[in-house]
Amino acid sequence: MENLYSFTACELLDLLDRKSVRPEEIIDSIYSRSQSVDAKIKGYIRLDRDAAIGRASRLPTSGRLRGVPVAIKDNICIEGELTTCASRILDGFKPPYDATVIDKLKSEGAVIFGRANMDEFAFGSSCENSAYFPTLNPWDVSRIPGGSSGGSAAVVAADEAIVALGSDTGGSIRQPAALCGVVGMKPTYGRVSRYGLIAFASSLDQIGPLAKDVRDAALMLGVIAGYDPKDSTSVNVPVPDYVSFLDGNIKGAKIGIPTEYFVGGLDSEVDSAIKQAIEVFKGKGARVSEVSLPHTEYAVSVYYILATAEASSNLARFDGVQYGYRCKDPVNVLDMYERTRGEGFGAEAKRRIILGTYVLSSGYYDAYYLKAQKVRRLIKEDFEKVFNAGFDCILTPTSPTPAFKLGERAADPLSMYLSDIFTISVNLAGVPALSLPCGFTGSGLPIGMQLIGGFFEEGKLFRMAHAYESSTDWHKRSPRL
Amino acid sequence: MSIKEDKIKYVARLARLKLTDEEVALFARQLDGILGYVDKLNERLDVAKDAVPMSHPHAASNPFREDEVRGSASSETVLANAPQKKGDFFKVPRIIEE
Repeated sequence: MENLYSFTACELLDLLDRKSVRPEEIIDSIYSRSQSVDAKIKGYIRLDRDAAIGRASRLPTSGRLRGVPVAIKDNICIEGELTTCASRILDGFKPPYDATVIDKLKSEGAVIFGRANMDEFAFGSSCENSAYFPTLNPWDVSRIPGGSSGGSAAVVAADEAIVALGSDTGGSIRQPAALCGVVGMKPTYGRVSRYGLIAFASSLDQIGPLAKDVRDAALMLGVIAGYDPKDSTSVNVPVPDYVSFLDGNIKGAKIGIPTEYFVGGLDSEVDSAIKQAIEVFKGKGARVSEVSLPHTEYAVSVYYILATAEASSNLARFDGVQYGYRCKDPVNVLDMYERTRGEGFGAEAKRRIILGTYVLSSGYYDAYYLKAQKVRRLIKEDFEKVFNAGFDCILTPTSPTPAFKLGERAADPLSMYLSDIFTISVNLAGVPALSLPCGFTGSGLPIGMQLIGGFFEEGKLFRMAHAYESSTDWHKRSPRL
Repeated sequence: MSIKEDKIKYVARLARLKLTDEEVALFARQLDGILGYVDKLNERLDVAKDAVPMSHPHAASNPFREDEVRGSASSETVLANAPQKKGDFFKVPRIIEE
């Protein structure tokens, strides 16, 4: 069968069910696709056709993803396979265990295929902070794909992957999904086990799917979600059948539009795409009204205090002792620590370690860290008030602008941080959100809209997103490569 | 609050992170800008004075489990990634001076 790489996971599962294709054919199709386009996109750090074919020949006899290849962001541990967070400091690291999400994928018959590029340790919004190379946007290779899960989004958009896993700490699934024109879901904090996800900010990180459409994202989340005794922050709430939410019925659903998200700095084409999307929802019987998330303006500040503080602690484990890179000929143990870390971390990782250590240091803790924790509470309460008032979801742009040019914000970290302005609050609150395509700019760049839900209301988000997607064809467009 | 180069050097030492002089100068400049932005929080100190600090999205409770004996990784597995090892140990430079 031709062009299997362009199919969705659900379409492939149907073909596999009817024995119209074999898993090996799907692997070969996406492998040859990536051979022809990845030189332009550079979405994969590692790709091993033979290993994937080997796995495809040893699949369990049944499973919800049996025969579907899944690309994996490079910060999710796979037993015995290089996992580097796109960082030099994890050079050569082969985890001794599978992350829980990998375990779940394997037992449902998914074929792990390819390691997607990312900003080093998920620090970034452009994929330019990878220690390997930047990934480029399939819609315009002079632009960034977003980040930090830029590789995952780009390979799905470029049909080099059927579906992918990413991780989202401040927008790292949703922003690249928006900039590459795919669907990306950041689940409720605690919905998906973080066991085996190399930690960036432990109170914010979640793993989630990137997919070509809403149905695939719903299917994927159903597989990876669930309580895990190995992650004490995972929450023991039953996992519904997310695909069963895709019934198209959103009549009477209440959508909130936060006024604070439609302010200066919002690109006019993004603004008008969102306004048109609102009309589509109204046309399907949803009730739309303005809401307020009054502490939005503090979100970026709160985030860059808390996320860097947590990151500086989490990254303390990279010291050249147990795994990864160690500097040459250290004269003593302090020299080993300092040079290993100085040589092993890239610029953004160092910047965040310094900032995080600073805000936690004696004399600054109250002014920064404690203060940020208090404002975080207010940001969470903003969302709770909206959902307690009966809103089913909140609709916003995912990113204030479409994909920017490579290098455009690299020298100015603050401008890079501000590209996450619409996605960060969601992680601070812990609620779920997804991004889905809602239009294109005049120059052909994808625009994404974000739907935010209440705690553990991923099903509602999928229902809303699917209802919109069924009335539009943005998700069916493919970049010319 | 502004951040000076000597503070960057001090913090880098706390973080066990060797920086070049160029990095120290660059980070001082950049972090000054970032902290200037972050200080928006402190301009409106009253905003959050009564809020309960939040460290986690869900109410924290200790997830107890049965204390069952389970297998663990062999020392061979654990040491497989070591930059340097000796026997059953990670090898590091001398820690206690003679």
